[in-house]
Amino acid sequence: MNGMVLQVEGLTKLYGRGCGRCVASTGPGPADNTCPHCGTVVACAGVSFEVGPGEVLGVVGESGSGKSTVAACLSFDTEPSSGAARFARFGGRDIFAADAAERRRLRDFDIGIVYQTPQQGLDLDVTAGGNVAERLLAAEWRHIGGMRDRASQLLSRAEIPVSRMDEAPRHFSGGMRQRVQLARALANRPALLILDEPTTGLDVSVQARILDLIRDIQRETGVATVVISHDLGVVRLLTERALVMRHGRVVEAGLTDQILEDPQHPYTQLLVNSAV
Amino acid sequence: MSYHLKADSLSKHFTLHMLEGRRLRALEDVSFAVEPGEFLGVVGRSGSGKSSLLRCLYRRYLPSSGSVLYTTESGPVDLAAADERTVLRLREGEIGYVSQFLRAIPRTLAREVVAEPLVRRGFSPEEAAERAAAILGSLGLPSSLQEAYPATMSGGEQQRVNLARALVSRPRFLLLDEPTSALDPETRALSLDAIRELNDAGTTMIGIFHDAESLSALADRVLVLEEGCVRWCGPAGEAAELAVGV
Ligand SMILES: Nc1ncnc2c1ncn2[C@@H]1O[C@H](COP(=O)(O)OP(=O)(O)OP(=O)(O)O)[C@@H](O)[C@H]1O
Ligand SMILES: [Mg+2]
Ligand SMILES: [Zn+2]
Repeated sequence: MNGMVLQVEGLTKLYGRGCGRCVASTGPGPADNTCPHCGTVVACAGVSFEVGPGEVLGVVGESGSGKSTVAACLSFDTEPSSGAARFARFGGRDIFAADAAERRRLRDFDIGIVYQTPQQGLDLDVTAGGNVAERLLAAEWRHIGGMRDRASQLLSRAEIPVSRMDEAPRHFSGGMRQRVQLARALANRPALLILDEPTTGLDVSVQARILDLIRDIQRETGVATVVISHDLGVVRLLTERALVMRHGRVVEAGLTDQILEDPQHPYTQLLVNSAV
Repeated sequence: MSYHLKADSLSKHFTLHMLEGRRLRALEDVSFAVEPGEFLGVVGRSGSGKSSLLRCLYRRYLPSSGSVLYTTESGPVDLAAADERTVLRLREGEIGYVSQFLRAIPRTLAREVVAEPLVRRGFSPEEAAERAAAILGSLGLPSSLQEAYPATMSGGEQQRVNLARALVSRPRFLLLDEPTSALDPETRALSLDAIRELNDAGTTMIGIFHDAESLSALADRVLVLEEGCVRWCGPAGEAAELAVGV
C-alpha cells in the first residue's frame, strides 16, 4: 500500500434506485446532486484519497456536499454503492468487501469515529466510564479493574474529571460529550480516526479547547486522521492536506495552506472569500 | 554552474471566479538561479509580484506554468509540480519561509510557537524550549513576552516570533518576505545579524526587503521585478541605483 494507512478509490454512494445516468447527470457542472432522470441522490461519487501514518486529512464543503457520507461509509454506517477502501490494518484489503464479523472487528479495534451529534456516538444514559468500557469490552477486555483504570486514564486524557466518570453524558455539556466520544474513539488505539464535524454547534471557546485537545492527542498518538468540517478554520488548524467537496464530488485537493491562499476552483474561491 | 534553486519560465496567473473570471498576471516568465549559500535579494514596487514569487517557491501558490528545480541531497525536485507529501517533507526538513504577515498558532505561547518545529524534528521539549528562548532573546524579545500569546503582540513583536520560528531549525534554504519591515532600527539590526549568521553558516536565502540598507547588508545578488517580470538580475553593488525608490 506504499506505506499508506488508508487508500480510498472511487467511493460512490447513491440513495435511490439509480438509472445509469445518475453520476453523469449530477455534480458541480449541473450544480445538483439529484438525478434529473430518476430522482436518485448522488451523495458522493468518485471520491479518492490517501492517508499516511501520522497524517491529518481535511475534508471541507458545505452541508449536503457528501462529506459525512464518506465518513459513514468508512465507519460502516452506510453501504457504499461502489468504490474501495484499502486499509493497512486489514492486510491492505478493501474494507467494503469485509464480511460481517470482519466489519465488527474493524469497528471494535481499528477505526475510531467521533460524530457531530453525541447521541450517535454515545449512550447518553450510561455513565461516561461505561461508554468507554463498552469499547474495551468489545475489544475483549475481561478484567474489570484494569478496564476501569484504562477508562479513567482515557477520560482524563480527554480532560473529563475522574470525579465525573460515573455520571451519564446526558448531564454533560456539549463540549464534555465530545470529549467522552473522543475518549471512546481512542479506547482501542485505532489505526484510523474519523472526526465528523467534531466541534460544530459548540460555543467558540469550547470549540477552541476541543480543537487543541484533538491536535495534542493526534500528535501524541500519531493516529492517521480524517477531519470533516464545513469550517475552514478547523481545517486550517488541524490539517496539512485537504479535499474540497461540492455536490458529491471532490472539486479540489491539495496542501491546506495552498487551498486557502490560492484556491483554484470557483466554489473554493467562494468558500474562502465567505469566511468571516 | 551548480544551483540550489533554479526557476525556469515561472508564471503565476489568477483566475478570479467571483469577479467574472477576470485574469490577473502576478508573474510572467520568471527565470533565475540561486547558488548554494547565496543570498538573492528581491526588489520591486508594491504589487510587482515579489510575495507571489516567494509563495510559488514555497508552494503556497500553485504555479501556473514553468518549473522550480530545487536541489536536495538525493537530486533535484520540481517544486512547481512535486506532490504534496514531497513539498511537506521539504518544508519540514529543509525549506523555511517567513511570511509578510504572521498567522500565529492560536492559544500557543510565543516560546512554544518557536519550539514547535524542533519538537517535530525529535528534540526534547526542554532542549527545544531552551533553543527557542535563546533565539527569541537574540532578537530582543524579553522573556516576559516569550510567555505570552503572539496574537496579542505588536506587529514588530509578532514579526520576530515569526522570524525566530524559521531560524530556529536552521533550514538549508530560507525564503524571507519583508521579515524586518515592522521593526525599529535597533531590533532590525538584531534580526539582520541573526539572518546573516545563518546565511554565513551556509543557508541559501531569497529575501524581499523594502529598505536599501537591509538589502545591502545581506544580498549577494539582486533580482528586480516589474509587473511580474524580471527587469534586471545582477550583483548587489550594481543594483544600488535600481533599488533606490522601490
Ligand atoms: N491569492 C491571490 N489571489 C488573487 N490575486 C493575487 C493573490 N495574491 C497576489 N495577487 C495579486 O498579484 C499581484 C502581485 O502581488 P504580490 O503580493 O506578489 O506583490 P508584492 O510585490 O509582494 O507587493 P508588496 O510590496 O505590496 O508586498 C497583485 O496584483 C496582487 O493583487
Ligand atoms: Mg509582498
Ligand atoms: Zn438517475
